[in-house]
Amino acid sequence: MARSTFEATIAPIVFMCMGVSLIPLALPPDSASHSSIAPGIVWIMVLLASLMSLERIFTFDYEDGSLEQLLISPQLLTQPIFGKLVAHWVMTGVPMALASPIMAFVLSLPADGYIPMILSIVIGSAYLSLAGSVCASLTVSLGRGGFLLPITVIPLYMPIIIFGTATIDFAISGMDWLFPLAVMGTFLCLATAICPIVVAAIFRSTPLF
Amino acid sequence: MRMQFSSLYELIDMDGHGVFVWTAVSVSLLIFLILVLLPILSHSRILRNIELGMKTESRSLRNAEVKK
Amino acid sequence: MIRSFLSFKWLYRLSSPKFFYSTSGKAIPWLLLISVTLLAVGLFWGLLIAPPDARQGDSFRIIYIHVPSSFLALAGYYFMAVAGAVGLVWRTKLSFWFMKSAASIGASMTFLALFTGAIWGRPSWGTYWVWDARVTSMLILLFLYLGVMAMIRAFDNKEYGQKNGAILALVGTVNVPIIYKSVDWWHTLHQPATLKLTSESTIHIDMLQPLLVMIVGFYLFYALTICLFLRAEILYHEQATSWVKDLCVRRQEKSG
Repeated sequence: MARSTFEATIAPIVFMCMGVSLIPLALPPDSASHSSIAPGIVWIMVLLASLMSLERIFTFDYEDGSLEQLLISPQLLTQPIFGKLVAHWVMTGVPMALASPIMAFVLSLPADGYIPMILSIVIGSAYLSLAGSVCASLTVSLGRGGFLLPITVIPLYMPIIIFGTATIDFAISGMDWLFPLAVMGTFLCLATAICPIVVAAIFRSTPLF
Repeated sequence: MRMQFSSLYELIDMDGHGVFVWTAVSVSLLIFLILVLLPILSHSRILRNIELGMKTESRSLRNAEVKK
Repeated sequence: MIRSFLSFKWLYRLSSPKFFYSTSGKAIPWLLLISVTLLAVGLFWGLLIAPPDARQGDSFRIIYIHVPSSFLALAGYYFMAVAGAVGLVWRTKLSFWFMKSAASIGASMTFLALFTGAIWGRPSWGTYWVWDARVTSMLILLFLYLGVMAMIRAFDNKEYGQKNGAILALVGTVNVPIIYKSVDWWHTLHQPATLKLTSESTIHIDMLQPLLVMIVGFYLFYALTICLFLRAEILYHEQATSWVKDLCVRRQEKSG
Protein backbone atom coordinates (compact mmCIF):
# COMPACT_ATOMS: atom_id res chain seq x y z
CA MET A 1 0.00 0.00 0.00
CA ALA A 2 2.71 2.44 1.06
CA ARG A 3 4.75 1.56 -1.99
CA SER A 4 1.86 2.11 -4.39
CA THR A 5 1.06 5.56 -2.94
CA PHE A 6 4.74 6.49 -3.15
CA GLU A 7 4.69 5.44 -6.78
CA ALA A 8 1.49 7.34 -7.43
CA THR A 9 3.04 10.55 -6.14
CA ILE A 10 6.52 10.25 -7.57
CA ALA A 11 5.70 8.80 -10.99
CA PRO A 12 3.90 11.87 -12.40
CA ILE A 13 6.67 14.19 -11.20
CA VAL A 14 9.41 12.06 -12.70
CA PHE A 15 7.38 11.78 -15.90
CA MET A 16 6.94 15.56 -16.02
CA CYS A 17 10.61 16.37 -15.50
CA MET A 18 11.80 13.75 -17.97
CA GLY A 19 9.30 14.90 -20.55
CA VAL A 20 10.43 18.50 -20.20
CA SER A 21 14.06 17.49 -20.67
CA LEU A 22 13.09 16.21 -24.13
CA ILE A 23 11.71 19.56 -25.26
CA PRO A 24 15.08 21.37 -25.69
CA LEU A 25 16.32 18.38 -27.67
CA ALA A 26 13.39 18.63 -30.05
CA LEU A 27 13.46 22.40 -30.54
CA PRO A 28 16.14 24.69 -31.97
CA PRO A 29 18.64 25.53 -29.19
CA ASP A 30 17.37 29.02 -28.57
CA SER A 31 16.64 29.98 -24.98
CA ALA A 32 14.40 32.92 -25.87
CA SER A 33 12.02 30.69 -27.78
CA HIS A 34 11.78 28.40 -24.76
CA SER A 35 10.55 31.07 -22.39
CA SER A 36 7.74 32.03 -24.76
CA ILE A 37 6.49 28.46 -25.07
CA ALA A 38 7.24 27.53 -21.45
CA PRO A 39 3.65 28.01 -20.15
CA GLY A 40 2.26 25.71 -22.80
CA ILE A 41 4.88 23.02 -22.24
CA VAL A 42 4.43 23.10 -18.46
CA TRP A 43 0.69 22.67 -18.86
CA ILE A 44 0.94 19.89 -21.43
CA MET A 45 3.25 18.01 -19.09
CA VAL A 46 0.85 18.46 -16.15
CA LEU A 47 -2.01 17.26 -18.34
CA LEU A 48 -0.21 14.14 -19.56
CA ALA A 49 1.05 13.29 -16.08
CA SER A 50 -2.44 13.58 -14.61
CA LEU A 51 -3.86 11.54 -17.51
CA MET A 52 -1.34 8.84 -16.64
CA SER A 53 -2.42 8.73 -13.01
CA LEU A 54 -6.12 8.80 -13.82
CA GLU A 55 -6.56 5.06 -14.16
CA ARG A 56 -5.41 4.60 -10.58
CA ILE A 57 -8.44 6.38 -9.09
CA PHE A 58 -10.86 3.47 -9.41
CA THR A 59 -9.09 0.54 -11.10
CA PHE A 60 -7.38 -0.84 -7.99
CA ASP A 61 -10.58 -0.58 -5.97
CA TYR A 62 -12.50 -2.22 -8.81
CA GLU A 63 -10.04 -5.08 -9.10
CA ASP A 64 -9.73 -5.91 -5.40
CA GLY A 65 -13.46 -5.56 -4.76
CA SER A 66 -13.42 -2.62 -2.37
CA LEU A 67 -15.53 -0.61 -4.83
CA GLU A 68 -18.19 -3.29 -4.56
CA GLN A 69 -17.99 -3.08 -0.77
CA LEU A 70 -18.50 0.67 -1.05
CA LEU A 71 -21.54 0.15 -3.28
CA ILE A 72 -23.32 -2.33 -0.99
CA SER A 73 -22.69 -0.29 2.15
CA PRO A 74 -25.73 1.69 3.25
CA GLN A 75 -23.91 5.02 3.45
CA LEU A 76 -23.98 7.77 0.87
CA LEU A 77 -21.70 7.00 -2.04
CA THR A 78 -20.93 10.62 -2.86
CA GLN A 79 -18.84 11.30 0.23
CA PRO A 80 -16.32 8.46 -0.06
CA ILE A 81 -15.97 9.22 -3.77
CA PHE A 82 -15.34 12.88 -3.04
CA GLY A 83 -12.79 11.76 -0.45
CA LYS A 84 -11.06 9.55 -3.00
CA LEU A 85 -10.90 12.42 -5.48
CA VAL A 86 -9.47 14.83 -2.90
CA ALA A 87 -6.90 12.20 -1.98
CA HIS A 88 -6.00 11.72 -5.64
CA TRP A 89 -5.55 15.46 -6.05
CA VAL A 90 -3.40 15.73 -2.90
CA MET A 91 -1.26 12.79 -4.00
CA THR A 92 -0.75 13.87 -7.64
CA GLY A 93 -1.88 17.44 -8.33
CA VAL A 94 -0.30 19.22 -5.36
CA PRO A 95 3.09 17.50 -5.72
CA MET A 96 3.05 18.40 -9.42
CA ALA A 97 2.37 22.05 -8.54
CA LEU A 98 5.22 22.01 -6.01
CA ALA A 99 7.59 20.38 -8.50
CA SER A 100 6.63 22.68 -11.38
CA PRO A 101 9.22 25.40 -10.51
CA ILE A 102 11.92 22.90 -11.51
CA MET A 103 10.36 22.66 -14.97
CA ALA A 104 9.86 26.40 -15.15
CA PHE A 105 13.50 26.96 -14.20
CA VAL A 106 14.72 24.56 -16.88
CA LEU A 107 12.51 26.31 -19.46
CA SER A 108 13.73 29.76 -18.25
CA LEU A 109 10.27 31.07 -17.42
CA PRO A 110 10.38 34.75 -16.35
CA ALA A 111 10.24 35.25 -12.56
CA ASP A 112 6.78 36.88 -12.70
CA GLY A 113 5.29 33.63 -13.92
CA TYR A 114 6.18 31.36 -10.99
CA ILE A 115 3.43 32.12 -8.48
CA PRO A 116 0.62 32.24 -11.09
CA MET A 117 1.93 28.97 -12.49
CA ILE A 118 1.85 27.20 -9.13
CA LEU A 119 -1.61 28.56 -8.31
CA SER A 120 -2.99 27.63 -11.72
CA ILE A 121 -1.61 24.09 -11.44
CA VAL A 122 -3.05 23.69 -7.93
CA ILE A 123 -6.52 24.74 -9.12
CA GLY A 124 -6.29 23.16 -12.56
CA SER A 125 -5.09 19.75 -11.40
CA ALA A 126 -8.06 19.55 -9.03
CA TYR A 127 -10.34 20.10 -12.03
CA LEU A 128 -8.39 17.48 -13.99
CA SER A 129 -8.87 14.93 -11.21
CA LEU A 130 -12.59 15.68 -10.95
CA ALA A 131 -13.41 15.76 -14.67
CA GLY A 132 -11.17 12.80 -15.31
CA SER A 133 -12.89 10.78 -12.60
CA VAL A 134 -16.13 10.86 -14.62
CA CYS A 135 -14.47 9.23 -17.61
CA ALA A 136 -12.48 6.89 -15.36
CA SER A 137 -15.69 5.66 -13.75
CA LEU A 138 -17.37 5.28 -17.16
CA THR A 139 -14.56 3.09 -18.47
CA VAL A 140 -13.56 1.25 -15.28
CA SER A 141 -15.18 -2.02 -16.31
CA LEU A 142 -13.20 -2.08 -19.56
CA GLY A 143 -9.99 -2.77 -17.66
CA ARG A 144 -6.61 -1.14 -17.71
CA GLY A 145 -4.72 0.31 -20.65
CA GLY A 146 -7.77 1.01 -22.81
CA PHE A 147 -7.67 3.83 -25.31
CA LEU A 148 -11.20 4.97 -24.55
CA LEU A 149 -10.16 6.81 -21.38
CA PRO A 150 -7.62 9.16 -23.02
CA ILE A 151 -9.78 9.96 -26.06
CA THR A 152 -12.79 10.79 -23.93
CA VAL A 153 -10.86 12.75 -21.32
CA ILE A 154 -8.65 14.96 -23.50
CA PRO A 155 -11.54 17.05 -24.90
CA LEU A 156 -12.74 17.67 -21.33
CA TYR A 157 -9.32 19.03 -20.43
CA MET A 158 -9.55 21.71 -23.10
CA PRO A 159 -10.82 24.61 -20.93
CA ILE A 160 -8.12 24.02 -18.36
CA ILE A 161 -5.24 24.03 -20.80
CA ILE A 162 -6.61 27.23 -22.38
CA PHE A 163 -7.04 29.17 -19.16
CA GLY A 164 -4.05 27.58 -17.40
CA THR A 165 -1.61 28.73 -20.06
CA ALA A 166 -3.45 32.06 -20.24
CA THR A 167 -2.81 32.62 -16.51
CA ILE A 168 0.95 32.21 -16.94
CA ASP A 169 0.99 34.15 -20.23
CA PHE A 170 -0.93 37.06 -18.71
CA ALA A 171 1.46 37.17 -15.74
CA ILE A 172 4.54 37.19 -17.99
CA SER A 173 3.20 39.99 -20.18
CA GLY A 174 2.12 42.07 -17.19
CA MET A 175 -1.65 41.73 -17.54
CA ASP A 176 -4.10 40.89 -14.77
CA TRP A 177 -3.64 37.13 -14.41
CA LEU A 178 -6.37 36.82 -11.80
CA PHE A 179 -8.99 36.84 -14.57
CA PRO A 180 -8.07 33.51 -16.20
CA LEU A 181 -7.38 32.08 -12.76
CA ALA A 182 -10.89 33.06 -11.71
CA VAL A 183 -12.32 31.32 -14.77
CA MET A 184 -10.42 28.18 -13.76
CA GLY A 185 -11.87 28.58 -10.27
CA THR A 186 -15.35 28.70 -11.79
CA PHE A 187 -14.74 25.47 -13.66
CA LEU A 188 -13.39 23.91 -10.47
CA CYS A 189 -16.46 24.96 -8.45
CA LEU A 190 -18.80 23.52 -11.06
CA ALA A 191 -16.82 20.29 -11.24
CA THR A 192 -16.70 19.97 -7.45
CA ALA A 193 -20.45 20.33 -7.25
CA ILE A 194 -21.28 17.99 -10.12
CA CYS A 195 -18.60 15.34 -10.63
CA PRO A 196 -18.80 13.35 -7.34
CA ILE A 197 -22.58 13.09 -7.73
CA VAL A 198 -22.26 12.01 -11.37
CA VAL A 199 -19.61 9.42 -10.50
CA ALA A 200 -21.75 8.04 -7.68
CA ALA A 201 -24.74 7.85 -10.03
CA ILE A 202 -22.66 6.05 -12.65
CA PHE A 203 -21.54 3.44 -10.13
CA ARG A 204 -25.04 3.06 -8.73
CA SER A 205 -26.89 2.69 -12.00
CA THR A 206 -24.63 0.31 -13.88
CA PRO A 207 -24.27 -3.47 -13.68
CA LEU A 208 -20.59 -3.39 -12.72
CA PHE A 209 -20.23 -6.67 -10.93
CA MET B 1 -30.30 38.73 -60.39
CA ARG B 2 -27.92 37.71 -63.11
CA MET B 3 -25.25 35.08 -63.61
CA GLN B 4 -21.76 36.03 -62.53
CA PHE B 5 -20.10 33.83 -65.12
CA SER B 6 -20.52 34.23 -68.85
CA SER B 7 -19.07 30.90 -69.97
CA LEU B 8 -18.74 27.38 -68.67
CA TYR B 9 -14.95 27.72 -68.52
CA GLU B 10 -15.25 30.80 -66.30
CA LEU B 11 -17.65 28.95 -64.04
CA ILE B 12 -15.27 26.02 -63.62
CA ASP B 13 -12.17 28.20 -63.25
CA MET B 14 -13.71 30.88 -60.97
CA ASP B 15 -10.72 33.22 -61.29
CA GLY B 16 -8.34 30.44 -60.29
CA HIS B 17 -10.32 29.59 -57.16
CA GLY B 18 -12.40 26.94 -58.93
CA VAL B 19 -10.26 24.05 -57.69
CA PHE B 20 -10.99 24.94 -54.08
CA VAL B 21 -14.67 25.70 -54.50
CA TRP B 22 -15.46 22.64 -56.58
CA THR B 23 -13.46 20.30 -54.34
CA ALA B 24 -15.39 21.57 -51.32
CA VAL B 25 -18.71 21.16 -53.14
CA SER B 26 -17.97 17.66 -54.44
CA VAL B 27 -16.66 16.37 -51.11
CA SER B 28 -19.74 17.66 -49.30
CA LEU B 29 -22.03 16.10 -51.89
CA LEU B 30 -20.15 12.82 -51.40
CA ILE B 31 -20.59 13.00 -47.62
CA PHE B 32 -24.28 13.81 -48.06
CA LEU B 33 -24.69 10.83 -50.35
CA ILE B 34 -22.99 8.55 -47.82
CA LEU B 35 -25.16 9.95 -45.01
CA VAL B 36 -28.30 9.06 -46.98
CA LEU B 37 -27.19 5.72 -48.40
CA LEU B 38 -25.62 4.25 -45.26
CA PRO B 39 -28.83 4.11 -43.16
CA ILE B 40 -30.93 3.02 -46.15
CA LEU B 41 -28.58 0.11 -46.85
CA SER B 42 -28.43 -0.99 -43.22
CA HIS B 43 -32.23 -0.63 -42.97
CA SER B 44 -32.79 -3.00 -45.87
CA ARG B 45 -30.10 -5.39 -44.60
CA ILE B 46 -31.80 -5.60 -41.19
CA LEU B 47 -35.18 -6.16 -42.85
CA ARG B 48 -33.74 -8.97 -44.96
CA ASN B 49 -32.19 -10.58 -41.87
CA ILE B 50 -35.49 -10.45 -40.01
CA GLU B 51 -37.34 -12.01 -42.95
CA LEU B 52 -34.71 -14.75 -43.24
CA GLY B 53 -35.05 -15.45 -39.53
CA MET B 54 -38.84 -15.64 -39.86
CA LYS B 55 -38.57 -18.06 -42.79
CA THR B 56 -36.24 -20.47 -40.96
CA GLU B 57 -38.44 -20.20 -37.90
CA SER B 58 -41.61 -21.15 -39.77
CA ARG B 59 -39.77 -23.95 -41.58
CA SER B 60 -38.51 -25.46 -38.33
CA LEU B 61 -42.02 -25.13 -36.90
CA ARG B 62 -43.42 -27.01 -39.90
CA ASN B 63 -40.75 -29.70 -39.58
CA ALA B 64 -41.61 -30.14 -35.92
CA GLU B 65 -45.27 -30.63 -36.85
CA VAL B 66 -44.38 -33.21 -39.52
CA LYS B 67 -42.32 -35.17 -37.01
CA LYS B 68 -45.23 -35.27 -34.64
CA MET C 1 -56.14 21.66 -30.11
CA ILE C 2 -53.73 23.97 -28.30
CA ARG C 3 -54.36 22.29 -24.99
CA SER C 4 -53.63 18.87 -26.39
CA PHE C 5 -50.47 20.29 -27.91
CA LEU C 6 -49.35 21.74 -24.59
CA SER C 7 -50.07 18.56 -22.67
CA PHE C 8 -47.05 16.93 -24.37
CA LYS C 9 -49.15 13.89 -25.23
CA TRP C 10 -47.87 14.13 -28.79
CA LEU C 11 -44.32 13.97 -27.43
CA TYR C 12 -45.04 10.82 -25.47
CA ARG C 13 -46.61 9.25 -28.52
CA LEU C 14 -43.68 10.28 -30.68
CA SER C 15 -41.28 8.64 -28.25
CA SER C 16 -42.83 5.26 -28.93
CA PRO C 17 -40.60 3.52 -31.51
CA LYS C 18 -43.52 2.11 -33.48
CA PHE C 19 -45.28 5.45 -33.81
CA PHE C 20 -42.08 7.24 -34.75
CA TYR C 21 -41.26 4.57 -37.33
CA SER C 22 -44.57 4.93 -39.16
CA THR C 23 -44.71 8.75 -38.86
CA SER C 24 -41.17 9.28 -40.09
CA GLY C 25 -41.86 6.91 -42.97
CA LYS C 26 -44.51 9.34 -44.19
CA ALA C 27 -42.31 12.40 -43.55
CA ILE C 28 -39.16 11.16 -45.30
CA PRO C 29 -40.26 11.71 -48.96
CA TRP C 30 -41.31 15.28 -48.13
CA LEU C 31 -38.12 15.99 -46.20
CA LEU C 32 -36.06 14.59 -49.06
CA LEU C 33 -37.92 16.64 -51.65
CA ILE C 34 -37.78 19.94 -49.75
CA SER C 35 -34.21 19.64 -48.51
CA VAL C 36 -32.79 18.60 -51.88
CA THR C 37 -34.69 21.44 -53.58
CA LEU C 38 -33.44 23.98 -51.04
CA LEU C 39 -29.86 22.73 -51.25
CA ALA C 40 -29.94 22.79 -55.05
CA VAL C 41 -31.46 26.29 -55.15
CA GLY C 42 -29.04 27.55 -52.49
CA LEU C 43 -25.99 26.09 -54.22
CA PHE C 44 -27.04 27.42 -57.64
CA TRP C 45 -27.78 30.85 -56.18
CA GLY C 46 -24.62 30.95 -54.10
CA LEU C 47 -22.21 29.58 -56.66
CA LEU C 48 -23.55 31.23 -59.81
CA ILE C 49 -25.59 34.31 -58.96
CA ALA C 50 -24.27 35.82 -55.72
CA PRO C 51 -21.66 38.54 -56.31
CA PRO C 52 -18.00 37.69 -55.58
CA ASP C 53 -16.44 38.97 -52.37
CA ALA C 54 -14.46 42.19 -52.74
CA ARG C 55 -11.35 40.82 -51.00
CA GLN C 56 -11.54 37.06 -51.37
CA GLY C 57 -12.97 36.87 -54.88
CA ASP C 58 -14.77 33.68 -55.80
CA SER C 59 -13.18 31.51 -53.10
CA PHE C 60 -15.65 32.97 -50.58
CA ARG C 61 -18.34 30.80 -52.19
CA ILE C 62 -17.18 27.96 -49.95
CA ILE C 63 -19.08 29.85 -47.22
CA TYR C 64 -22.29 28.30 -48.54
CA ILE C 65 -21.15 24.90 -47.29
CA HIS C 66 -18.77 25.88 -44.53
CA VAL C 67 -21.11 28.02 -42.43
CA PRO C 68 -24.20 25.76 -42.51
CA SER C 69 -22.14 22.67 -41.69
CA SER C 70 -20.43 24.47 -38.78
CA PHE C 71 -23.88 25.55 -37.52
CA LEU C 72 -25.08 21.97 -37.56
CA ALA C 73 -21.87 20.63 -36.06
CA LEU C 74 -22.45 22.81 -32.98
CA ALA C 75 -26.25 22.56 -32.85
CA GLY C 76 -26.01 18.82 -33.44
CA TYR C 77 -23.94 18.45 -30.31
CA TYR C 78 -26.74 20.06 -28.30
CA PHE C 79 -29.35 17.84 -29.97
CA MET C 80 -27.25 14.82 -29.07
CA ALA C 81 -26.65 15.88 -25.46
CA VAL C 82 -30.30 16.83 -24.88
CA ALA C 83 -31.44 13.50 -26.32
CA GLY C 84 -29.00 11.75 -23.99
CA ALA C 85 -30.33 13.70 -21.00
CA VAL C 86 -33.93 12.89 -21.93
CA GLY C 87 -32.97 9.24 -22.19
CA LEU C 88 -31.28 9.28 -18.80
CA VAL C 89 -34.20 11.00 -17.06
CA TRP C 90 -37.25 9.41 -18.72
CA ARG C 91 -35.52 6.18 -19.81
CA THR C 92 -36.96 6.36 -23.31
CA LYS C 93 -35.14 3.98 -25.64
CA LEU C 94 -35.80 6.16 -28.65
CA SER C 95 -33.80 9.09 -27.29
CA PHE C 96 -30.70 6.94 -26.84
CA TRP C 97 -31.00 5.82 -30.45
CA PHE C 98 -31.48 9.44 -31.46
CA MET C 99 -28.30 10.26 -29.58
CA LYS C 100 -26.40 7.51 -31.39
CA SER C 101 -27.63 8.72 -34.79
CA ALA C 102 -26.92 12.36 -33.94
CA ALA C 103 -23.36 11.44 -32.94
CA SER C 104 -22.59 9.91 -36.34
CA ILE C 105 -24.23 12.73 -38.30
CA GLY C 106 -22.70 15.43 -36.10
CA ALA C 107 -19.25 13.95 -36.53
CA SER C 108 -19.64 14.02 -40.32
CA MET C 109 -20.88 17.62 -40.20
CA THR C 110 -17.89 18.61 -38.05
CA PHE C 111 -15.56 16.86 -40.46
CA LEU C 112 -17.22 18.69 -43.35
CA ALA C 113 -16.84 22.04 -41.60
CA LEU C 114 -13.16 21.37 -40.91
CA PHE C 115 -12.52 20.10 -44.42
CA THR C 116 -14.18 23.00 -46.22
CA GLY C 117 -12.48 25.37 -43.78
CA ALA C 118 -9.10 23.90 -44.63
CA ILE C 119 -9.78 24.24 -48.36
CA TRP C 120 -10.98 27.80 -47.89
CA GLY C 121 -7.86 28.55 -45.84
CA ARG C 122 -5.58 27.81 -48.80
CA PRO C 123 -6.58 30.77 -51.02
CA SER C 124 -7.40 33.21 -48.20
CA TRP C 125 -4.76 32.45 -45.51
CA GLY C 126 -2.18 30.80 -47.73
CA THR C 127 -2.20 27.50 -45.86
CA TYR C 128 -4.51 24.54 -45.45
CA TRP C 129 -4.22 24.16 -41.72
CA VAL C 130 -3.79 26.81 -39.01
CA TRP C 131 -3.75 26.21 -35.26
CA ASP C 132 -6.21 29.03 -34.81
CA ALA C 133 -8.61 29.07 -31.87
CA ARG C 134 -11.75 28.30 -33.87
CA VAL C 135 -10.14 25.57 -35.98
CA THR C 136 -8.56 23.89 -32.97
CA SER C 137 -11.74 24.00 -30.94
CA MET C 138 -13.71 22.52 -33.84
CA LEU C 139 -11.15 19.71 -33.94
CA ILE C 140 -11.79 19.18 -30.22
CA LEU C 141 -15.51 19.03 -31.04
CA LEU C 142 -14.76 16.27 -33.55
CA PHE C 143 -12.86 14.39 -30.82
CA LEU C 144 -15.84 14.83 -28.48
CA TYR C 145 -18.14 13.31 -31.08
CA LEU C 146 -15.71 10.45 -31.71
CA GLY C 147 -15.38 9.86 -27.96
CA VAL C 148 -19.16 9.59 -27.59
CA MET C 149 -19.39 7.28 -30.60
CA ALA C 150 -16.61 5.05 -29.23
CA MET C 151 -18.17 5.03 -25.75
CA ILE C 152 -21.57 3.93 -27.09
CA ARG C 153 -19.98 1.03 -28.98
CA ALA C 154 -17.37 0.00 -26.38
CA PHE C 155 -19.49 -2.21 -24.16
CA ASP C 156 -21.02 -5.63 -24.74
CA ASN C 157 -24.05 -4.51 -22.76
CA LYS C 158 -25.67 -2.07 -25.22
CA GLU C 159 -27.81 -0.24 -22.69
CA TYR C 160 -24.80 0.38 -20.49
CA GLY C 161 -22.89 1.77 -23.44
CA GLN C 162 -25.73 4.10 -24.42
CA LYS C 163 -26.07 5.37 -20.87
CA ASN C 164 -22.34 6.00 -20.59
CA GLY C 165 -22.34 7.75 -23.96
CA ALA C 166 -25.16 10.02 -22.79
CA ILE C 167 -23.26 10.95 -19.62
CA LEU C 168 -20.12 11.70 -21.62
CA ALA C 169 -22.10 13.82 -24.09
CA LEU C 170 -23.61 15.80 -21.21
CA VAL C 171 -20.26 16.36 -19.50
CA GLY C 172 -18.77 17.45 -22.84
CA THR C 173 -21.27 20.30 -23.21
CA VAL C 174 -18.97 22.50 -21.07
CA ASN C 175 -16.83 22.86 -24.18
CA VAL C 176 -19.52 23.96 -26.60
CA PRO C 177 -19.84 27.57 -25.35
CA ILE C 178 -16.04 27.85 -25.50
CA ILE C 179 -16.02 26.64 -29.10
CA TYR C 180 -18.86 29.01 -29.92
CA LYS C 181 -17.16 32.02 -28.36
CA SER C 182 -13.60 31.19 -29.43
CA VAL C 183 -13.59 33.64 -32.34
CA ASP C 184 -14.57 36.49 -30.07
CA TRP C 185 -12.24 35.62 -27.19
CA TRP C 186 -9.10 34.99 -29.22
CA HIS C 187 -8.50 37.41 -32.04
CA THR C 188 -6.70 35.01 -34.32
CA LEU C 189 -6.96 34.43 -38.05
CA HIS C 190 -10.54 33.21 -38.24
CA GLN C 191 -12.97 36.01 -38.99
CA PRO C 192 -15.66 36.75 -36.40
CA ALA C 193 -19.14 35.39 -36.91
CA THR C 194 -20.86 37.14 -39.81
CA LEU C 195 -24.38 36.04 -38.95
CA LYS C 196 -25.90 37.36 -35.77
CA LEU C 197 -29.40 37.03 -34.46
CA THR C 198 -29.34 39.98 -32.10
CA SER C 199 -27.56 42.60 -34.18
CA GLU C 200 -27.13 43.40 -37.85
CA SER C 201 -25.19 40.84 -39.86
CA THR C 202 -21.95 42.03 -41.42
CA ILE C 203 -22.60 40.24 -44.71
CA HIS C 204 -24.14 41.83 -47.79
CA ILE C 205 -27.81 41.04 -48.40
CA ASP C 206 -27.14 39.48 -51.85
CA MET C 207 -24.74 37.02 -50.27
CA LEU C 208 -26.90 36.50 -47.20
CA GLN C 209 -30.05 35.29 -48.96
CA PRO C 210 -28.52 32.16 -50.53
CA LEU C 211 -26.72 31.48 -47.24
CA LEU C 212 -30.01 31.46 -45.36
CA VAL C 213 -31.49 29.12 -47.97
CA MET C 214 -28.52 26.80 -47.50
CA ILE C 215 -28.82 26.88 -43.70
CA VAL C 216 -32.50 25.92 -43.83
CA GLY C 217 -31.66 23.25 -46.38
CA PHE C 218 -28.92 21.83 -44.14
CA TYR C 219 -31.28 21.72 -41.15
CA LEU C 220 -33.90 19.85 -43.14
CA PHE C 221 -31.27 17.50 -44.51
CA TYR C 222 -30.14 16.90 -40.93
CA ALA C 223 -33.72 16.02 -39.97
CA LEU C 224 -33.90 13.68 -42.95
CA THR C 225 -30.71 11.82 -42.06
CA ILE C 226 -31.77 11.61 -38.40
CA CYS C 227 -35.01 9.96 -39.53
CA LEU C 228 -33.16 7.53 -41.79
CA PHE C 229 -30.57 6.56 -39.15
CA LEU C 230 -33.24 6.29 -36.44
CA ARG C 231 -35.45 4.01 -38.55
CA ALA C 232 -32.54 1.62 -39.04
CA GLU C 233 -31.79 1.73 -35.29
CA ILE C 234 -35.45 1.12 -34.39
CA LEU C 235 -35.68 -1.83 -36.73
CA TYR C 236 -32.47 -3.32 -35.35
CA HIS C 237 -33.41 -2.98 -31.70
CA GLU C 238 -37.09 -3.88 -32.09
CA GLN C 239 -36.70 -6.87 -34.41
CA ALA C 240 -38.05 -9.28 -31.82
CA THR C 241 -41.30 -7.34 -31.33
CA SER C 242 -44.58 -8.28 -32.93
CA TRP C 243 -45.11 -5.01 -34.81
CA VAL C 244 -41.85 -5.43 -36.72
CA LYS C 245 -42.79 -9.01 -37.60
CA ASP C 246 -46.22 -7.82 -38.78
CA LEU C 247 -44.45 -5.21 -40.88
CA CYS C 248 -42.29 -7.89 -42.51
CA VAL C 249 -45.28 -10.12 -43.16
CA ARG C 250 -47.15 -7.27 -44.81
CA ARG C 251 -44.09 -6.42 -46.89
CA GLN C 252 -43.77 -10.02 -48.08
CA GLU C 253 -47.46 -10.14 -48.98
CA LYS C 254 -47.11 -6.92 -50.93
CA SER C 255 -44.10 -8.17 -52.90
CA GLY C 256 -45.80 -11.50 -53.45
